[in-house]
Amino acid sequence: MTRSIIKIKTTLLDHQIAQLSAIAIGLSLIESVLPSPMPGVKPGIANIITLYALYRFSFKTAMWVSIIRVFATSLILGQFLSPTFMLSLTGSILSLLTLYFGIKLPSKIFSPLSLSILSSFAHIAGQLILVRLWLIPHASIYYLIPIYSAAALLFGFINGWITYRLLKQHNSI
Amino acid sequence: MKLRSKFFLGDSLIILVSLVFIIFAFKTFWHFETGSVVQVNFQGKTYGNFSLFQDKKISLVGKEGESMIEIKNGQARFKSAPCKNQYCVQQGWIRFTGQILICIPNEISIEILGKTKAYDSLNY
Amino acid sequence: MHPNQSKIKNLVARGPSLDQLHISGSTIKSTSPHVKIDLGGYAKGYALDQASRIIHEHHIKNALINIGGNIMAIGQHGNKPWRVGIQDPRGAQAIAKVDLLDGWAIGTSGDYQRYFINDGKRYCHLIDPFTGYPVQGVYSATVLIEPSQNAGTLSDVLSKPLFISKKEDRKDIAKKLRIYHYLIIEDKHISMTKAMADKIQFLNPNTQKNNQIEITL
Repeated sequence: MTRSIIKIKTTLLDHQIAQLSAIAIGLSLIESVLPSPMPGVKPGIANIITLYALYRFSFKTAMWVSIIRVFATSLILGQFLSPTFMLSLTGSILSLLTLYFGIKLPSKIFSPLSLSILSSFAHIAGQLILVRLWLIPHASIYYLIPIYSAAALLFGFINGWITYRLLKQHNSI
Repeated sequence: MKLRSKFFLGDSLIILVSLVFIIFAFKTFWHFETGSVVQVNFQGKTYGNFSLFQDKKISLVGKEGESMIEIKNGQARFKSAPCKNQYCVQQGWIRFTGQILICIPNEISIEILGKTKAYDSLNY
Repeated sequence: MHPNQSKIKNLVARGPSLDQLHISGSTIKSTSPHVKIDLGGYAKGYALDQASRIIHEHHIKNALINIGGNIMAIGQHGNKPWRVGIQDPRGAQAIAKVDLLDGWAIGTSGDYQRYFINDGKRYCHLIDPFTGYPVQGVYSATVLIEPSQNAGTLSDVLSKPLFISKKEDRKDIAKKLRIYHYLIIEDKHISMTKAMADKIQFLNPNTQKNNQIEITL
């Protein structure tokens, strides 16, 4: 009996997505062991990769990287389908939605910094809505809005700045 | 995609708007008035409202196990929780109106109520 | 189902009155067989005074007593006075608030607690003794009573005459009964003494917009 070898044809895009996802997953895992002052307040450094992919390649790439990262990270951490995973997914979806429209903004006026901050806010908004509507319906989450917003601005700014610097380095492409 | 260097106008705008929003959020949602009642929500329903001016321990057994809520000296906290992250316990005591502690895995939240009522009692 | 007009007329004509009661010690005699005693409009206020007495006997410095809606204040609430809400006769919440100082009492008579509606007309539990029919048109009457031995009793008793009296008689009746603070709510019309106006605060800015406010001296 002859052995049949199944060869999957991979495109350059696939490789790009895989590499970026790997980095993003790595960053996510590192972040998961760092202590956070308050549940839900995280630097979200993996988002740098998403944003980078958006500018350097395309929205499709960024979307794949983001989704893969969320799923893989939760599988590795054993949190698949847990509330944490749901929060992460919801935040990422809203974040991606914002990026989809955000990238259409004139780049002469809005840099990656803007998009990073906007998607950051979208991320926490998605999470707070999920908490309010499904996870803990009775909770009045208003109390969390100020501090989550401050974190969104701070980390959105830092991540955006880092992404901008990275993109500038590869400007030649 | 080539990136130009002059693009901070939109960024500054967004940062400014964000800051304004954050300040507004702090002013509106953060009260520093001591609360009088803590509301305990369990599995999507209000389990009960308890006065903060009593020493009390409340034990709730949820999906993950037993969570212990403690009320003492006008404050409330999660004394112990069965969840892995222990976020709720780590936050410590809360006492101001609007403050809230949430234990998502066990579906429990405790929130300080006590917006200053307009009056102490109703005449009718 | 309608009340029998002549029957009511007869009942009114019998004219039962407190004047027909003679009280000596703990014995009450009546010269008229038509007088019946009903402690509605008296007992709650009396209970306020009793409760106040007991509280003072126990050396409790601060308390707010609410007996079925009639309220008396003792001391204050921490370092500010006790604050009392006055029920909106046509709403679910308070229409105004007033600070009740030590020893003051507040009572309200209203058509919104015990009533029925027949053919679109409201019949409340407070009967005008001169007509035999429930008072029509007045939603609520609130009186504020200064500290005295029977401030509680007075807060219960005195809201009724004001509730029942006709608009033009109110001033005289209030004067006679020595009521200095009263508030009367009618359809789109709120009247009160200046002394009362100084003490209360409407909780909803729309109240002043939607009602004609009349301040009598």
